[in-house]
Amino acid sequence: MTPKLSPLDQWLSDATRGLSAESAARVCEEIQQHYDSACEAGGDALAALGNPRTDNRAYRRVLLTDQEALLAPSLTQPRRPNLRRILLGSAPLAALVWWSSGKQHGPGFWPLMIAIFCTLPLAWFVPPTTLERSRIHVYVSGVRSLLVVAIFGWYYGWIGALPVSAVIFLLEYFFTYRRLLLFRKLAAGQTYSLLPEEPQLTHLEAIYLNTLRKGGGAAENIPVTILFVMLAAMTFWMPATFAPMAIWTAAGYLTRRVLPIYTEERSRWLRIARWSTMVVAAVLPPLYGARAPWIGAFLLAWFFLVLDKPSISLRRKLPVTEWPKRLYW
Amino acid sequence: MNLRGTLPTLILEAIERHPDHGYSIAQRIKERSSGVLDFKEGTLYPALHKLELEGTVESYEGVEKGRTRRYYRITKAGRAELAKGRKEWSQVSRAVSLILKQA
Repeated sequence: MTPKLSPLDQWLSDATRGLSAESAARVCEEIQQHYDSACEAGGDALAALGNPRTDNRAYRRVLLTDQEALLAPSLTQPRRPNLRRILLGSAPLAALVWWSSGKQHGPGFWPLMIAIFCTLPLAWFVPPTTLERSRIHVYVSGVRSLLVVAIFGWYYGWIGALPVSAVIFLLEYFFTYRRLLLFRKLAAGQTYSLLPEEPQLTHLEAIYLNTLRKGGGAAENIPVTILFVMLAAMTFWMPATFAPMAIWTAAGYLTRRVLPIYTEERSRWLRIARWSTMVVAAVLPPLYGARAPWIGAFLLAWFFLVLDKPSISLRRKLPVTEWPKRLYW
Repeated sequence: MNLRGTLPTLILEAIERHPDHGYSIAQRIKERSSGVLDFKEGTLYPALHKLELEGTVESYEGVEKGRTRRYYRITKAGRAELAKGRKEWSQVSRAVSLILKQA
């Protein structure tokens, strides 16, 4: 039986949810000191603390979260270039060049493309392992994103450039801005000591496993009606590009509710079926000359592969008995 | 009453002369504004941490009446920020007053 928490402990538990152990300890210590002083002075000390959920959002912005504490050690160390990572990272660029080479462009197109490519190896020469270097990467990737959006907008219309800019800036936010925020927190003297519980996992895998154990994951928290309306609208708009993603998501969403897939064998067949759909949809049609509409499908397949990469390694490293449900599909 | 955006400047003002801990900072802001500016404590601490992140305040542990407390002191960058905040507030309040008087 779980012991009942005092109102202050409950407030602290809500306010420190998702913070690293060190950040949570600091918040608890300060609020406890404050609460004691407020009690001595009289009045409703607990009510004066405010809404813990609102404060939790504010704390997460300024103190290290548990996921950032896991990520910090790998971000502060330079990463060695790795052939598999280079190949995976170059796939969308190769697709973009292949797509561009089949079209007529204005005189400024290729100089702009070359400018974009020149910024790509920056991480090899200036690894973003400090606050200052991370700032340089934010500026460079900001300029690069603007160039990509400008190319799309200029040559293929500004409406077409909207989804491109949304995707690019979303990725930039996650990979560049969040790294900058983490370095700012470290530079302010915040410390971390959280290490993966399973020593065989990398920090990124440990973060993903934490998320899965808490019931999170891609598209996991989107209400089913919104998800299907969104997929139907996208498929109707550009069937060639979005149909594979719709099939992929719908299959994953429905099968895990309808079919008994939670054994290793069934799960493997389900994943083979889903990946085959995606690969066939993304790779075969361009061979028959349908180059332009399918570039989106190829990029989506690549994006899903990158998203699924931590799940693939978690399945290899963890015994089946320890798999969270999300790993079965 | 809680004027959005003024809290960082008020905190810097409260610790300009000498370092202080969170509870005392909150009380001082409340007293000096005759109870008008009453920030929730859950708002005060994230704001203090944000200032620390920006390098305008520093924190350290101290002891008051036998009790350990975390104190905040203003930095050089914090003093510059406070001067800027005072100047901006003076311009804004003068402009708002002009408009409201006209109405």
